Amino acid sequence: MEIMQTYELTKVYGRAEARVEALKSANLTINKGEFVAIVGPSGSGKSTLLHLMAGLLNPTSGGVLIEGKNIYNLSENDLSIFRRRKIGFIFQFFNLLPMLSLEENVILPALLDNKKVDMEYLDELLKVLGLTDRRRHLPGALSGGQQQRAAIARALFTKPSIVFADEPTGNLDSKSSKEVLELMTMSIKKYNQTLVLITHDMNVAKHADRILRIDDGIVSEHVTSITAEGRDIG
Amino acid sequence: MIKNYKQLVPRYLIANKKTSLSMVISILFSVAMLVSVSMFIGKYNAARIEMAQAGHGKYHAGFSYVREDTLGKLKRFKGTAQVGTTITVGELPMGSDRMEIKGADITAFDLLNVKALKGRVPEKDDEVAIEQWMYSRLEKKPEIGERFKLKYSRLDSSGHTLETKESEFVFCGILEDFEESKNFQTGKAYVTLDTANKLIGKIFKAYEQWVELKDTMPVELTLEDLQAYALGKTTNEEHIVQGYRGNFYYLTALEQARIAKSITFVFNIIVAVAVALVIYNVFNISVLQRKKHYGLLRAIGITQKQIKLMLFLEAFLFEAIVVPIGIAIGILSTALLTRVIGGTILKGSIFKQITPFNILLPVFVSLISIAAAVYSPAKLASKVSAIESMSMEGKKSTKKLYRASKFKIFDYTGKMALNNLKRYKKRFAATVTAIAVGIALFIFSSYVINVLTPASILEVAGVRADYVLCFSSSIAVKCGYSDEIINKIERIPGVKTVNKFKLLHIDYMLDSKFMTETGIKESKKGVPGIGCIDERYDVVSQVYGCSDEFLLGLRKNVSDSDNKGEVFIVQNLDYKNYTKIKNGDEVEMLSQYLNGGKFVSVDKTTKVDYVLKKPPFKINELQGFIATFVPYKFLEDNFKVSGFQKVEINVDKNANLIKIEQELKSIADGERYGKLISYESETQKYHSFQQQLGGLLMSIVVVIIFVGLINIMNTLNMNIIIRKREFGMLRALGFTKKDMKKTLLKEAAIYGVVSSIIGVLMGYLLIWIVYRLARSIFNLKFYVDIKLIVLTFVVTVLLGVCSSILPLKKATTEDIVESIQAVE
Repeated sequence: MEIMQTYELTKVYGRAEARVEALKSANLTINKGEFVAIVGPSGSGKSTLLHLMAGLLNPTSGGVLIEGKNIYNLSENDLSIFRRRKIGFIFQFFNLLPMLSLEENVILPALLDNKKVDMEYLDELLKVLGLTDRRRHLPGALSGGQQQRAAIARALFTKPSIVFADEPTGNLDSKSSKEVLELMTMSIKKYNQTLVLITHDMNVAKHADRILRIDDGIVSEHVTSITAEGRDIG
Repeated sequence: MIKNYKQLVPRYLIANKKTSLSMVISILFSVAMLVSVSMFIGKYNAARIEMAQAGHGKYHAGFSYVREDTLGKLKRFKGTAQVGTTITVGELPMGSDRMEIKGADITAFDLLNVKALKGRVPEKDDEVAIEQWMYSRLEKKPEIGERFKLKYSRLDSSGHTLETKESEFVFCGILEDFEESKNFQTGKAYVTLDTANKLIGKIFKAYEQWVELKDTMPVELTLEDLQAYALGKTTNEEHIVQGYRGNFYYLTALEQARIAKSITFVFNIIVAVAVALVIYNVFNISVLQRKKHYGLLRAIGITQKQIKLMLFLEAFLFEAIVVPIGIAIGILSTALLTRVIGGTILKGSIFKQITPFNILLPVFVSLISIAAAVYSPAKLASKVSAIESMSMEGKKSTKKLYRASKFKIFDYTGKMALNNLKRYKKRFAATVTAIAVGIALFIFSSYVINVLTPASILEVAGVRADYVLCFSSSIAVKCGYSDEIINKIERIPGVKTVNKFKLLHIDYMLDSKFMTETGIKESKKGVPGIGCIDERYDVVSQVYGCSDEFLLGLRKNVSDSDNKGEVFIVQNLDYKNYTKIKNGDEVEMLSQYLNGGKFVSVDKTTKVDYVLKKPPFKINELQGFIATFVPYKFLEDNFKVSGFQKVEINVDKNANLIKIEQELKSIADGERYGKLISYESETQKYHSFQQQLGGLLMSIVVVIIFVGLINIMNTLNMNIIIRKREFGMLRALGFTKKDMKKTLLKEAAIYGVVSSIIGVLMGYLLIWIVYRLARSIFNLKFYVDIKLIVLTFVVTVLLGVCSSILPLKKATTEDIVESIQAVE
């Protein structure tokens, strides 16, 4: 079942000589429960595509449908509420609010909705991500891996329909990267969520169900070759 | 754990203690200063009026010969606040003076400022209270509550003696002496109005009424209407009064207070603008520092409305908590400063100046500033895309920055500094303006302190020599220092020069051909010093009877040096344009003098020989709009002025000054109403006033500049935070710490230079405005002090550079790698 679709999605920056087409008429479909990795070299438009799909950036033309709704037809207010409830976003540089504790950062999306916090779910999420004993610490007192796990918990807390991750392991050492990736894949399977992740690292991409490639703003399916495990890695 | 996203606001403020503290201090100081300035200004204006009221009562106009059946008419006039009524019962001689027995109602006691030194003013029938100087002359001095008899002459409505009578009174109080009583050689004893009516009996009574106008009415126009109303010109009633008399000194004080109020209002506005800019800047910087966080919240799903709500909640917290504390600090520090500075103007309770205006002004100013500071980033944070908000550098300008070739005198660090300032134009403008206001006030304060010197004030007061012998009464023409006394003065060892003047106040009674249109218009307004009676215009003048040498000096200054004329005038003093008398015009002079307590009128028509362009010395505006210079004989022959009313004495500085002063003092004491003024003593008195005023003004300036410098520090800090990655990248490429220091110091110096230019220009504009408004009252001169300007520039630039020390340290000690990475 389709959960997200883009049609003729285009983003152009600048004018005249400074005009740059970061994304050119991207048409793609993502199904519910899929783990999609988007790979490509630096400056290819990966982040632009991800930000457009998550409703964080306004396209030059084209649209994005999530659960059948064209998110760019929504008012700014409605889009914010939609993002809050239906989309989870994990940044490369964690982006936790420094004056809130780990657990406060996690429940922030729910507070914006003026909803009562589901403490049981919070406890479970923190346990799954191995953060229970750090829940009251400020971000400054957490390691990089712990901070990223907290960002993951925040993205998952509202049980969004789709989770976008922008190079989530880009700022981590290899051990933390492996841990975070395992937790992400385990969480989305457990909560039946869709994950779209961008990376330049094929070792990360190989965990995905599907890999898309982007070069100079043009999106294509990634052609892979079969491994011993039966998995194409291209 | 937070329960609501709004709790992010206090969390942020607590997490960023330094920024929050800086905001709190800036707002507290700014609000406190605004309250303080408003209160001092209010106190100063109130004190001037209080002083005039204390000496001359608080009525605006007095009317005489008011009939009994029309006593209520003046109360019905639309501009009347209250009316007091008095009537003369009789009089009795007291040596060479007289004591008048007058009846007065309670309102009259208030309006005429009748106050008891001992006991009280009369309240019951037959009670009487007497002025102290009259009481001291009574043969038998009654005690309070004692019954005693007074023998007096009963007068009719025209002042003629009807009979001699003796009545019994109950003594109830000793009154403060009235300034005018001694001048007119007539002391007062007051009874109640009912007692007076009883004593006068059933004959025709002519009352006096004293009118205080409503605060809300413009004085000049209302007085004009009041006169017309009282004289029957605006109603069908027969006119009810014959005599009108404006309270000259009080009206003059009100006029001066009105001018002072305009000046101080401008001052208040300027301080309010400086305060607004400071609050705007600190708040704006604080909010902009969190732009990235707002971007993140938007990515998570916060709405525009929620962002705005958070920002306005923060604004409300400051408005509700910090501003009231600032107001309280302002009030208390003003009270403390008043005690420390003290002096005539600031004595008395300052707490009366806690008016709604003084409280609401800082609330209003801070509210507007904080709202403005929050509105713009709130709008931006809610409109710009989440990803753009998270970029600390913000929107890149597409406009061309300064071309390198334009600024050949700067190296690349200077060009970087200029470019950085251009990038953050709004912040730069706000910071610079706040400091410029402080500089403008410093320039203005320095000017005020320098022009209001004892010398300039004494020049206005007519003290132009080491010692001046004069009289405290100007009405009694019999007062004068004789030739014999002058000779005695000249013989005192150490006396160098003696200049003597005869003085007389006269009224020029002019036809309309001698009046300008402005003069004709002003004469009908009840303006002190100029009036209109039956289409003839009455302009007050001070006449100086001068020596031949002095007049010769005047003749030398006129183009026609063959002129052997005797009568010189200078018209339109005090920058007015009321009269257009020309050489050769014949004018009528009218004067009155007191002889044994009775007024004797004298008039003389004379030819004006020459109209001078400017007076030979500064003349006080209270002396009138025309000054007249004539030989001694002119005043002696025509107006019976005997002796000299003013003697200016200069002494050898090496002489025995104590002995000279003692001798001159004994000469003054030997003359009725004689007075000695010492330039040295007056200088010390005004020097003290100058110090108080200087201390007060400079305290305000120091606070403004201190807050302005915190502003520079905040702004530079903010600029560094925003450009953290940029600086990190430059340093990674080889930009040395020294280069960074140079760039930042140049930025700070540019703040100083630009602030100084704007501040100096604003300061001199303010000086020009004040000079135009108040030049006549305070003998002001307009001049530009180059040394002060240079000093201002140097000090401001240095202070600006000093403000950059902490931000500089922050910028140069950050780890390069950390700076390049996007870290919290």
